[in-house]
Amino acid sequence: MSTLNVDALVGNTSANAITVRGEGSATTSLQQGLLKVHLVT
Amino acid sequence: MASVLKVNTLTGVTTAGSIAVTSENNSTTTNLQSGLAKAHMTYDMSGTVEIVYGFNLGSAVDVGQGKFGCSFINNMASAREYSTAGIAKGNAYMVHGAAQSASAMQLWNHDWGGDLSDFDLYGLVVHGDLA
Repeated sequence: MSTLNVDALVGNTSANAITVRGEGSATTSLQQGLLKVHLVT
Repeated sequence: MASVLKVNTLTGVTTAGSIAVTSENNSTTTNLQSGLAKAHMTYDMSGTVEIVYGFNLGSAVDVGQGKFGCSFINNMASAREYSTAGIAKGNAYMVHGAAQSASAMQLWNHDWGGDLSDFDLYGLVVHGDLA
């Protein structure tokens, strides 16, 4: 178990592009996958 | 002091596809991979069927009146391990079509009368596990 304490994540090569290993062997994009807006009315 | 991590790829240490993230309440954790949308798009069926904007979705296929088909670039784990939520412009709603698999899916688009119809703007998001 390892824990990283960090306040912000920024892509190193491209600031807006961070790859995340998926549940299997494929990868996905952190920025594309994050929900950008939600609300309760 | 704020800290910024510059990184290109995030991979779990114990399990490559599992990273815990502390939640908004500062106590419980949630799962980064499970929380990410694995695909999203807007598509147009008013003329030649097309994906207007898409992430992790490949070619669009016109399967018939109101029936939209598309494939994933990176497949999902199985046909039963993902779900979609969507919205359509105007008086329309969508449901999953019969042909759902790990590599492709169909969306059947109905007007409120229940008839399959081609509208000019739909949007959807896919959550679930990647293969």
